[in-house]
Amino acid sequence: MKDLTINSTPQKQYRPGTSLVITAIASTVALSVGFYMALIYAPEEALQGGAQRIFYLHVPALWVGALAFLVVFISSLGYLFSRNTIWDIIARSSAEMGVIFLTLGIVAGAIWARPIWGIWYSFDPRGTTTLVLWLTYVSYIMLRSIVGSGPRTSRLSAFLGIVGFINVPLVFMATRWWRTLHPAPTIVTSDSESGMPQEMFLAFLVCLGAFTIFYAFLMIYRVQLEQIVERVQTARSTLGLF
Amino acid sequence: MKKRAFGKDLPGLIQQTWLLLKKDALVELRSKESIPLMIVFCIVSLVIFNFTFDLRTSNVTLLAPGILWVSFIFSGLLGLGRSFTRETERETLAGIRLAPVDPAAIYLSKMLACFFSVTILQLLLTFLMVVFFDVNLAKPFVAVALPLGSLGFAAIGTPFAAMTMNTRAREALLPVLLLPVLLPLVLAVVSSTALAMDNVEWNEISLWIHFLIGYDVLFLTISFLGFQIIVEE
Amino acid sequence: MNNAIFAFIAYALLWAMLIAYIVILAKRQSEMRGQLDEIEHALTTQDTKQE
Repeated sequence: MKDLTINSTPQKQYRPGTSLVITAIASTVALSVGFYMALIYAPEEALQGGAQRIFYLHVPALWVGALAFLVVFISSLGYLFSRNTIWDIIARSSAEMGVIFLTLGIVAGAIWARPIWGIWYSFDPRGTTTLVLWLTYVSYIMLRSIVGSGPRTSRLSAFLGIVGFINVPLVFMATRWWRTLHPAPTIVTSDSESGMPQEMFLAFLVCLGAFTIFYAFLMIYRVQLEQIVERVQTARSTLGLF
Repeated sequence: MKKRAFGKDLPGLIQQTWLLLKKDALVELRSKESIPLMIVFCIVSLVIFNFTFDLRTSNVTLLAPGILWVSFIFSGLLGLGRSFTRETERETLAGIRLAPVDPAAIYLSKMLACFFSVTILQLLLTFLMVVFFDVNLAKPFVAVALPLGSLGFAAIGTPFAAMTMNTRAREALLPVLLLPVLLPLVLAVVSSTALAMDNVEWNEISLWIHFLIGYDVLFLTISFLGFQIIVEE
Repeated sequence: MNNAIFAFIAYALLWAMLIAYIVILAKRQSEMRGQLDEIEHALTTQDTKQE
């Protein structure tokens, strides 16, 4: 009886760890500074006006989305090689985070595209690839929720996490070639990075960093939550044996 | 359970694959439920396409590559789902797994079974396209693009069908999981079919054909290696 | 150009989404902790009964 996992693990794990507190404070500060810089410090773009300020949100959100899926890919590989549940917990937490940040990035992009391009969405290589990435990981979460919990789910979703990630460059290549061989829509490209004033670039970098720290904070929080869920499930099944 | 050598024993692998393939063919010949179902579904969708596009375009030929591949993908998904559902319904896969069979042989046999059945579907589909839409599909590059597309579909479709076989809502889950992964394949085959129908030179179409070959090789490898992970107990 | 309203909508949406997500996570975490406490309590009482 004394050997039960829930009894043998120290009570300390319930309290928020130092890393959580540090990332919480760091992301609050960084996000505040980032948004100040994005909304006030950075100069107004001559052509796009206020809407250009969405850029400081749109790109970092998509960056974090992509980063989150890289983490899913790596931890899926980690799970398959080590069969350690922690990899699976990281993978599922990161997939959820990725969907949230990607949704944010896509929606922000659409809000930006409407006044600037005159359309909500463009199926250009970047737009399509982002959407496919989003779809892949929404289906990843659906698979997890439908199959339930257990090692089979972990294996299946690890496979999907790997295949889905490998698929992304293929989608990008295919859509780019598709556009070069078919008439491309006449759209002003958003490659304004080259001639960006230094203040804008600085604000952008700070936002990028802030979002990344924020992702780290959410990940730590989410992984802790999953560990608690995991222990509740273990405890439940142990109790069921009595 | 003892771990079996995965794809190590090559003659044994070929023999097992052949036996499993024969078993699948026999089951299909007796029940006649998978291929006829795909074919009838395919005809129905062609009829629907004919009417839905007829209203807005005077020349349906322009849409032929799209119609061909959309019908193919959806009919193929139907057959793909069946191939594993059949095994779970009769619990035959558990039997196969109890016998000393290399999981790689299960993958290869299922993949080849899928490839053969979608090839039958595709031959018929091509014929029907000619009959219904009066398009000329007798081009050399069409004959290259179609099998490459079928092979890619079977290669990556098989592990996904195995993934969803025991789950709730599998009929809906399979396309949701598989279609994002199939997107590059669909773009490549539709593009190459369209270019082939326009009688372009090899150097214009070679990009897509190479892409298709790369896609097929990549996903055959990943599926071959990953299938063990999916079916393992 | 007065299209700053689009930026405003985007930022408002960002905050609404992220705050909603954190609230959901926090709620779920406190709920799970409650369950874990309950189970541990049940286990300790069972332990004492057996003793």
